[in-house]
Formats: sequence, C-alpha cells, structure tokens
Amino acid sequence: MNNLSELYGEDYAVTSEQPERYYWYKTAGGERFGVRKARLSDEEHMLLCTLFYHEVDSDMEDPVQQKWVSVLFDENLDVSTVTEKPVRYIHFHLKEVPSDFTEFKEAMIGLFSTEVIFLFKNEKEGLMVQENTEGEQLVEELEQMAAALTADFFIEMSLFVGQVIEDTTPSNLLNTYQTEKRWFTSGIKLIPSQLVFTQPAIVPAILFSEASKETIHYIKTLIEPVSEDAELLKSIRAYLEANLNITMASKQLYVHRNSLQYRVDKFIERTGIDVKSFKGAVMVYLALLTYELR
Amino acid sequence: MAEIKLNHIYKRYDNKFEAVKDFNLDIQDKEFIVFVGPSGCGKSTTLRMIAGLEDISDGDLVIGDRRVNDVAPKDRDIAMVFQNYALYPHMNVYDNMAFGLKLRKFDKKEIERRVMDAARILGLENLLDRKPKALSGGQRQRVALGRAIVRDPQVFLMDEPLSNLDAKLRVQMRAEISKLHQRLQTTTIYVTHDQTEAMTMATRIVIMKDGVIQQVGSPKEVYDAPDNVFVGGFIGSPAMNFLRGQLEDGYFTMNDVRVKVPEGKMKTLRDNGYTNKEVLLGIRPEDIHDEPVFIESSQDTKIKAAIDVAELMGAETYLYSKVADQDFIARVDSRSDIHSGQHIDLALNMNKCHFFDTETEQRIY
Ligand SMILES: Nc1ncnc2c1ncn2[C@@H]1O[C@H](COP(=O)(O)OP(=O)(O)OP(=O)(O)O)[C@@H](O)[C@H]1O
Ligand SMILES: [Mg+2]
Repeated sequence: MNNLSELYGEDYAVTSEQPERYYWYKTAGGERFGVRKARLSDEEHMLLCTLFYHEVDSDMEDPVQQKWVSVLFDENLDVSTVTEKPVRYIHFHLKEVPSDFTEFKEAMIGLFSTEVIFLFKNEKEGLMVQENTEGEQLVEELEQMAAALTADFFIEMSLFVGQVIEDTTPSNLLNTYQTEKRWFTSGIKLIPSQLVFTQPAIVPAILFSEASKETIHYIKTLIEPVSEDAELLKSIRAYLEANLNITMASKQLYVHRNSLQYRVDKFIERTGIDVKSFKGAVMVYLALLTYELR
Repeated sequence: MAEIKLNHIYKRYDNKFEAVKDFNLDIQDKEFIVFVGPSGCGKSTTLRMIAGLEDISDGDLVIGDRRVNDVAPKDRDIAMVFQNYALYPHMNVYDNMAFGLKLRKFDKKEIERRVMDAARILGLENLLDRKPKALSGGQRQRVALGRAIVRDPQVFLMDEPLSNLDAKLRVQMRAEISKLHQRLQTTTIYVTHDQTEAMTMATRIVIMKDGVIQQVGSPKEVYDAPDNVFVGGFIGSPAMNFLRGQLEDGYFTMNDVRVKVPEGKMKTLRDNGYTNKEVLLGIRPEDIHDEPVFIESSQDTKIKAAIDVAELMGAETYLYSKVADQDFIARVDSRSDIHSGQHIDLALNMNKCHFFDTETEQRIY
C-alpha cells in the first residue's frame, strides 16, 4: 500500500470528497483505496483490477446490494440474513472492458431491473442474483441476450447459470459462489466460444481435456456413419437435450414430431445405437460433443 | 460506400494456434460475399476480426478508406447478425429493434421511422407488441435482422444466421435475405458451412480450409473451374468424382479402362509434363451420361460401370457405381430399370472434366 501511495502521490486517496473522480479498489484484507481516474492509463487500471477488487460506484448505494457485495466479494460472513428466498446466480464475464462502461452497465441492469440484483466485481466480471428461480428457457434466453448485447455494444461475454440455492446462509451463499466461479473459469478456458455455460456442459469438457487423442477418436467413431449429416446430428442433439422428449424437441426445432421421430429412427438404423435408452443416450451425447472439440 | 480490404491478415490465438493465415481479399461496395468451408476453417474468426471482436495478429484491414485495425468495433459502422437470435427476451419486437438506436441517441421520431420501415420490409408489422418468446424461429431471426437493418450500417456481417432454422425454413429465409440485399444494397459478408447456401446467395464465394483461402470466385466460376481437389469436392452436391489414373497416348487409363482425352486438354497436360504420369480426373456426376444418344456419339469415353446402388431422387437418379475398382456417382434422369449389381454403359463428357496433380492437388486443366 505504501508503495502505491508513494507511486501515485497526491492522486492516491483513502477517502475523498469527490469519490466519482477516483477508481476505488479493495485489497484482500479489506483495505480500501482510490486512485484518481485521470492519472491511470487503461492498462494500469486493468492491472490494478486484477490485483485488487475494483469497486464499482453503484455497488455502494443499495443496501441489499451492499450486503451481497460484502458476503460474496469481501467474504464477510458476519451479516444478518441476505435473502430468505432461494436464489440462483448467473455469473458473467466480459471479454473486454466496455469503453462506455457506465452505459453498458446501465443497459444490462435495465434489461433485468425488476428481477435480479446486479453485482459487478470489477469492470469485466460479476453476477446477477436471481430470486425468481424458474429457469425454463433460461439458457436460451441468456444466449439471445448475450448475442444482443454483443450486437449492440460489440462486447462479447460468457455466462454461467448456477444451480438453485435453497440454503441461503451467508456461508453457503459464499461457498456456492466460489465453487461456481471455479467451474465457470474452467469452462471459459476449455470452450472459449461458448456463450452460456452450465455445470453439466463443463463436466464433459473437463474429461475431454484430459483424454488422449486416441480416446477421443474412438468415441467419435461411434457415430461416424452419420457424421456428415449435420441436420440429423442437430436433431439428435435437440432430442437428447429435451430429455428424450420427441414433442418438446420437435417444438424446439420447429419440425413436425413425426419428422423428428423419423430422424431418430434413421439415426438408430444407421449407427446401431439405441439412443432412446439412457445409456445409449449418454454415449451418443459424448460422441456428439467430441465433434465440437478443437 | 464500403469497400473492404483484407491484406495479409493473420490470426494467432493466445494458445499460439494459427486460425487464419495470409488472408487477402478485396470486397467491392454492395457485394454479397460468402465465406464457406468446413467447421473450424476460420470463417468466424475472420468475420470477428472484421467486426473488431477479435484482434488482428498481423495484416491490414481497411473499410472504406480507413485502416481500422485499431478502430473500436462500435466506430466501424457495421452491424452483426448471429446464429443465436440476438434479442432481449424481456422487450417486445418494437423495443428490440429500437434499442440500438436509443443507445446511439437517435431522436424518437427517427427511431420510429426506421423501426416501422424495417418492420414493413421484414413483414413484422403485426408482431411489434410481441415478446420474442411468442415468436417462431424464423420470426425471431427476422427481428434480429431488423435490429441490424435499422442501424443502416456500411456493412452487414452475418455468421450462420440460418443454421438454427429447420431445412425448409432455411431455404425460404435464404431467398428473403437475398431479396433484402438487393433492396438495401449494403455490402454483406455472410458465413456458412453450407455450400448450397453459398452457391445460391453469393455474388462471390470465398472457400476456406484450415485457415487458408482455397479459392475466390463467383458461384459459377468456382463450380466450373475449381482451383484444387478440395474446392472441387466441397462445392456441388453430390460431390465431384475423382478418379485416379495414368495419362497414356492421349488417353486417361485406369487399369484396362481407357477414356479419350480431348486434344485441347491433352496438349496442356503434355506441355506441363504429365505424359505417362499419374493424375486425378475430376468429373461432376451430371457430366456422366447414360442416354444412348450420348453414348453412341462418345464411343471413346464409354465405360462399363458396376452399379452398387441406384437412388431414386424424384426427377433424377443417383447411380452409386464403380469403375476399375474406384467409386463414383452418376446423376442421370430418373429410371427405375437399374438394379444393384448390374453392369451398364455410361459415357463421360470429357469436355467438362478437369485434371488435378496427385501431389499438389492443384488443377492442371
Ligand atoms: N478463443 C480461441 N482460442 C483458441 N482457438 C480458437 C479460439 N476460437 C476459435 N479457435 C479455433 O480456431 C479455429 C477456427 O475457428 P472458427 O470459429 O473461426 O471456425 P469456423 O470456420 O467458424 O467453424 P464453424 O463452422 O465450426 O463455426 C478452430 O480450430 C477453433 O477451434
Ligand atoms: Mg463459425
């Protein structure tokens, strides 16, 4: 700290009358300090962000939000109840810091305002705490939203959809946050092109990342007879992801259920794998995933 | 006016993987350029570099008369359409289309004018109050297109916008996007791995493989004169046939099968030193004929083919056949009198065939 204070001299502060002129950071030990924005280049600011928690102004305003920040980012478990209701975290990670960060943040919050609590850990990552945990089309909606934000702001992001958290004691909230964040980090590393992650999608990616080329090739060949038929593979993927429910999958694909039924039969006929059975489905699912590996 | 120039563009990812290598292309104003190639060949990477979503490792990107390598994406005046419908789930169709304009501080009147215009063009006028959830896949992608159109950008960048749609709808939307382009005349770069999509939509096609451009040309050019074996095999369905054989004495020979090579072609082959060498003959399925009239007049390109399977496709039949132990497909007018195992006469239209070097796989003639 002393070094930083020396380095930035008058531009370094612990408190200020004009907090908006400073970037505020917090050390792992909870010490807060600011450096005048005008003094910092983007790179320096980024560097400080990676070394310390960067506090974003509005996190400091709303008491509910403050509580969350305190538990999740400051790891302070000495707080009274944060929430009574079950929640779900949706973690986000931006590939770049938006040049118009405030505008971007406002847009993002605006998209959800009524339903979620927004927590920015720094200018690149944070999470949304969702109290309405119904998530029927959540992944699909988030994919669309992420794509829309990219189209409007030219910032790419990935998201991680967590599990519903029933036990809302501060320690479990923190614990879940940290665990999910680790999953998310692995996911981003292994499948950089993915928009929305869920735990079940990351598990096979981790397994594949440790498998040999031969193993992967071996799994790949399971569905070789149909590997050129992109339409069929897409249908089977949708069928598996709809929990082997033809009706649901055909809605998803916008095809008649009979044509999907026909495609599933064709798949079974050509590969000899009974994709309708649980074990067959698992096998086919893994084989399908190998086609997405680099 | 938006010309786009890509000069010696490279992309190396953090893990050192080189996804795009020495990419050179001049795109004219108003063109509809399609990048096509198998999965992982670097189409999206190239598109994303143009958009500014991905840094350019090496080379120059020029849009209009500006080098834009270091220009922020939002200042490049482009609009993107993705495979995922880029929509805000909580906003209705109108607000979805208006959002980008509000963000750019357009006044209310102008926003309304542009949104209503786009809605009319895309046939969304009656859906403006709906949320995305209440729309079909095709309608959703239309709204996503609308979000791009209202921006009136210099360039549209589209990355497999139709691949979430079912085959039938895809064909229909294909035509709609083409019409849209005719109407708006905005320079467009469109990415797909579907060669049919590329052939039907593009003014020019860029065929890529392993991060390298294989050929650039109009659909007709790349179809009629593929530069190499990869392009020949990738463009066209069913794919071009490749037969391996020797050039001997004016004939292409496979074991005891002999096919006469037209003198013009033979001269080029001879001049390039291919006499008595092994070459690959490339011939499209529709250039192999079964009509007696044709065979009658092409006795010196006649072959005896063993039919493995005859697949009736409606107006046409695909004959999966063998000659001198090599597989090929002939595409002939429908006939139901052919059975597996049968041997029939076919004749090659050698004026339409190509020859490729077996090593470099480049086209010789
Ligand atoms: N962030 C990244 N880090 C490392 N490699 C990457 C990254 N993104 C893409 N790649 C690799 O670069 C190559 C080109 O990818 P790209 O997405 O451009 O392919 P594509 O032609 O669009 O394929 P598809 O048809 O599957 O979309 C692939 O091998 C891909 O795995
Ligand atoms: Mg792609």
